[in-house]
Order: sequence, then C-alpha cells, then structure tokens
Amino acid sequence: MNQYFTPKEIIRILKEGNSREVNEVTTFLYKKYRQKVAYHVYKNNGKPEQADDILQEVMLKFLDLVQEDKFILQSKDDTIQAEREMEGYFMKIVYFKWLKFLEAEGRRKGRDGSGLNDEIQFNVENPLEILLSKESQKEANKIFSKLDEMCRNILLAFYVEEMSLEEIALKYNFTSVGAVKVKKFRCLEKLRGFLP
Amino acid sequence: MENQHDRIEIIERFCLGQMKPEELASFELMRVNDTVFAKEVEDYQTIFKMMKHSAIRTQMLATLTQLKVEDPLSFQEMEAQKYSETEQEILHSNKPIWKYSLRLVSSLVAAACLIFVLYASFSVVQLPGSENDLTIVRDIDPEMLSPVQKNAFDHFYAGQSHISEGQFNAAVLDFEAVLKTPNLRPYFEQATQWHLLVAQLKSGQTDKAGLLYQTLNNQKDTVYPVGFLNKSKLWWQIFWANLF
Repeated sequence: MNQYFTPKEIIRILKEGNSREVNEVTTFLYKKYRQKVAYHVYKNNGKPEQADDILQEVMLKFLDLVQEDKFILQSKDDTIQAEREMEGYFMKIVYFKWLKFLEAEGRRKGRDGSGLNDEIQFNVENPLEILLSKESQKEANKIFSKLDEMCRNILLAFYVEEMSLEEIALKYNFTSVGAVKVKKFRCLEKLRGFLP
Repeated sequence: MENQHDRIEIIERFCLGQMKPEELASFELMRVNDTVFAKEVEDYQTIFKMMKHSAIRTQMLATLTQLKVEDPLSFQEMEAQKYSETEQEILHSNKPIWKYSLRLVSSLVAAACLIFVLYASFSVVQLPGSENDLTIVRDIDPEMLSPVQKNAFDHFYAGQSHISEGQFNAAVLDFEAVLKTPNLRPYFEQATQWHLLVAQLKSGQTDKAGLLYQTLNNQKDTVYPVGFLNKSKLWWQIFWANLF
C-alpha cells in the first residue's frame, strides 16, 4: 500500500477531492478491502469475478453514501476507532450486496421459496437497505448526461478540475476568455432547466 | 443585478464559498426576501454539488476499471486467506502468541502420551534374557550343582517354557517354587520375581502382580535390569487389568 489516508481524509476527498486525490483514495480503498471482500465471496462459494463485481459495486455505493451524508463518522478524533467504524460500515454493504446478488441468482435459477428469501426478508428491516436503494445519484448522473459534450467538458474543467478560464479557452479553442465565461453561464442555465 | 449572468456569477461565488462577510449578509437578506432568487440559489447549489459528485464517481469508476485489469483478484490469494484462519485468529486476538504456542505444544505432548499409553498397554513385555538366560548360570558348573540348586534351575526354565506356551498358572507355580529355594543369588532371585510378575498378570492374579510390581519397582539394589519401557508396559497392563 503506497499511500495511507485516514477515514476523515477519505470522506473529505470522496466529497470534494480533485481527480488525482480520488484516484489515490480509490486505489487505497481497493487494496485495503479487496482481500476481505474476496474472502467473504469465496467463503460463500462465489467466484473471483463475482468478488470483483461486488467490490466495484460496494465502492460506488460507499461513495454515494458518503456523498449523501449517510455515512458520518462518530469517532472523529480517534483514527483507529474511525477505521474500525468505516470497515464495519463497508463490510455491511458487502454482506448486503452479496445477499442481493444471491437473491438475484436464486430468482434467475427459479429457486424461489428457499431459505435464502427468509434472510433477505430479515434484511429488508435493515435501514441500510433503504439507503442503498436510493436512486438519487443515478438521477443526478442522468441529468448531467443530458448536456452536450462541450458543456460537460467546460463545467467539469472549471468546477471540478479547477482550471482557469484561460486554460479552458486554450484547451477547447475559444477565441477569448469572455467567450468561455458566456458559454459556461449558458451551460449552467441549460443544466438548471433539466432539474426536476 | 444587471442581467442573468451577473446573478449566476454572484450565486456561483456564494456556492463556491468566495463571498466576503459583508457581501454574504446582503446576499442572505436577498434570499429571504426574494423567493424566486432563493429557489435559483437552491438549484445552483444542487447543480454544483451534483457536478462534483458526478466527476468523483466517474473518476472512481475509471480507477476501479484500471485496477481490475492491473491487479485482479485470484483464487490463490483467497485460498491462502481461507487456510490461515488460525493465523488470523492469532493476529486479531488479544491473547499473546505464547498462549497459542503453549496450546500447540500441549496438544502434541498429549498426542504423544496417548500413543505411548496405547503402545505400553498392548505390546508384549520383554524381560532381559527371558530365554536360555546364560547369565543366571554364568560361572556355575552344572556338575557342581546341589540337588536344591538344580531343582530351582529346573523350575525357572520350566516356568519360562510355560509362559511361552501360555500356561500361566503353571508358570506361577514354577516361579513360586524357585523363590522358596534358600540362599538364592540376588540376580537370580530378581529375575524369577519379574518372571513371576508376568505370569501372575497373564494368569489374572492382578492384585498379586500389582503388589509384586511395587516391591520390585521400589527395590534399591537392582541387579536384574528391567528397563523403563518394560516397567511402563507392566504398570499400564496391571492398571487396565485392575480397572476392568
């Protein structure tokens, strides 16, 4: 593991980090939890490729939950305790995702009515499932994807990559900084129009 | 505000946290008094947050896709982890490692003890020179033997023969007859006693065998050398015979 991040840093970066930081934190989390996730899936007679898929889904779900402020650290000053808390939360998502996967598999193979459904029924009462079933992040992505490519590029370059208007003008062949500014505001207005 | 773009620029500065305190106060006042403006601010807040989150998600997905190719999961790693549960237990437990070592050593010792007990309980006792024991008659000219001595030797060898033939009661009588002989050499006397013990044990006289074992085992001037292994065999066989 090349770089270490405390849970506090991880949460900050997943909410407002730049692309380099997000890349580093994603790598860190992947290496930190891959064996645990793989072991859980393997122990339950899963396959390596299924473990890979579960890990990816869990990472993205963890990101959504952090961004929606559903995961809030209780032990802010104690790093070790915070790590345990984060790991516990992360692994709960793993268990849930794996059960959902088995449920889908069971349904696919026409094995409904097995003991598995009882377990799923139990988890329905778990508040975590309510959180996991939220589609707000997907909706946001859908809205953003309605924009044309140039608008997406300009907005991401300015607000996410924190490039200056001059750099954007140069990169996307605008004649002036003013032209970029006008285009940026128009893109924002267009995006606002897509909001429900 | 001169035009729509100026409004957006002000909202943008608010959303990005770039406003000065005095400017912020008038901005907040405007939000309270103008519901249309308040809605516009709320929309742009959502948009900025959404853009940031979307970009982070896209970056995470790209990194994960790359990691899956560069560093995929394998069965070997999982197998290794599955079979190192004891190791995991040790690593994540508060117990010191010496306790696990002690547990392992204790288990090995217990297994070894069990194997030894089983071996001692069921294997044949082998006394020194149990057949044609020349040491008993060493330096003694058979032509010079007195009738009493000759009788003792005859019973001794007859007893050994009876043991080998499975006639243990007869063997007991032979060895007892030997021991009645006066002035027996200590070596010969002890050899006869150990043989008598075997005969008593095999003939079911376990109480007598037990008592004789204690006498022989506590004997200080040992001249007939019965080793630890054979003594242990006798002890365990007497123990089981008394138990059942």
